[in-house]
Amino acid sequence: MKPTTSPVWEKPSRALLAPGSTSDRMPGGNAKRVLIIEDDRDIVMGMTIRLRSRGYETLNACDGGRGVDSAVQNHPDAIVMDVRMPRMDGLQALSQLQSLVATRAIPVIMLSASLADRQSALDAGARFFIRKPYQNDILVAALESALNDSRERENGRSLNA
Amino acid sequence: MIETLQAVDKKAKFQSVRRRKARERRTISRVADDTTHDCRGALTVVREYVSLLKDGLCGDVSEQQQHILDVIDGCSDELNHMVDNLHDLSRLATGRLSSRMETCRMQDIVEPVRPALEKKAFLRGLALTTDIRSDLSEVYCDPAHISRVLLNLGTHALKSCVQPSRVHLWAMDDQNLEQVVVGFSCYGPNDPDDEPPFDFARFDQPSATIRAVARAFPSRLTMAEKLLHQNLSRLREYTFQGFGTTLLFDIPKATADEILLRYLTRLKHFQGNRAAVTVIRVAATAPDCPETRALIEKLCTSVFQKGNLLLHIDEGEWLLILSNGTRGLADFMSWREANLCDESQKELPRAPRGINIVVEGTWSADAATSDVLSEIKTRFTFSEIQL
Repeated sequence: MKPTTSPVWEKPSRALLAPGSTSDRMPGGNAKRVLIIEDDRDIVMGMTIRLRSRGYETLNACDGGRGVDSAVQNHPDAIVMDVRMPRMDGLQALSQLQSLVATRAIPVIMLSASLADRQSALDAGARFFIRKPYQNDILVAALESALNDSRERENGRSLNA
Repeated sequence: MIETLQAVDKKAKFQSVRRRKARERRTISRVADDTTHDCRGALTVVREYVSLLKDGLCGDVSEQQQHILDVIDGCSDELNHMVDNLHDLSRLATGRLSSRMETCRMQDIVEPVRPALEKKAFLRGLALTTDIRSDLSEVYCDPAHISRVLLNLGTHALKSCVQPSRVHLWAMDDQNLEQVVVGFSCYGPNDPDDEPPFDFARFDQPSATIRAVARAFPSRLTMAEKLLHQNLSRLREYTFQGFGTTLLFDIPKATADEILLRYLTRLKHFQGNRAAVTVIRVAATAPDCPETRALIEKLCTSVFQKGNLLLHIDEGEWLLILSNGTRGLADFMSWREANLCDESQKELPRAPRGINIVVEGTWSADAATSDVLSEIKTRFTFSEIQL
């Protein structure tokens, strides 16, 4: 039997997951902010619960275009993005993110159900590619690694300055 | 004049059929890609939500609920493998799945697969034992494909087993033939604890019920059989009286003789006396140059996709065995044309920059396979071939 735990998530609240919304359960001011760009609301909900339970703050957007807008506006610490989405797909969005000074340094983890997207995602500048269906601990490990890399890069930059 | 018109008409009809077939292949590919993509999306949700429940993020979980969630998790894994199988079957049907054969060790292939099989065994209340020795001969195969074969066969064996019983995964060198034999044996509750004596000659004795595994089997076995076929291997099932059922396959050892022999035998089986092979030696003059590497990569993909054989002889050197009966040679020529640096280099043996191509010759498989093999061997010093 698992030890008794207080649930992080008590009741499904889709309003919480409306595009652009942020979590109202922010842990402290130092929480890293993760932007989830994914058109499948069920996946967004699952990922949101998982990441919040690990102390992350989450934002979400339902297509590439909105995701780029949200990244520019909110400066997330990392982005988790699906490849295949309506209107603007993940690869186009990644290319836009890479071309903007404000978002270029944000590590992006790409998700896709198709292995065929792997090379194009990595070539386009994704830090990691994870195939769906993914193991959530792999997603969290990739996210932590991407955030650590960015932190080290920033530290290096401040030392050089 | 009439003959010319007839020839033009025949060519137009041929091109029309080719276009229709290409259209059909594209449709099959698109439908399979989209369907499997959507299935994996749904499985992502199932796996994620089960994991949220199991981790207690939505409240306390009782022991019984935990077990039920483990079963759902296991089933979602299996569905995921089935989706992979369906996708690969469609890629096989449309010629988009190729085997990248290389020299490897069975132990290295089995190790990453074992945890998944052990988990399945645990969920079914079965024991999984393995015996893959590290001193087995090296084999020549696509390790990713053989991993998939092991997962498919292992899952099938575990599903077929009646509790309480065990499944044993083993591999051994065949003393008589240049092959390593890998098998899953299911031992029922009434079977002896000892493993059956794996004397391969015994497989041919009347006490063993033998059948080739091909038709009317679940998708797992169909997929395993097709992947093995791509890897010049075959799947068989044996039932020994007093012992359990064994699913086994043989992988060629990493010797050029054995691989060529299997390739030619298969070619003759499918094409009969029309079968012929062209042997081409490809050498990269600067194997470390990125441009050359990219060209070689394209070449390998093209060659593998059409069911030809590519033997990596040495650093930057390959031997291409192209089947003339299929589109092997034609495709190779197209690849060459498409990748030439300039028009003046279109005559063989010239080749793209950084790559030397030498056509060693064409051999008909009309003769006995062994004759073809020895004919090819007269041109190559096989002892030099280090796979």
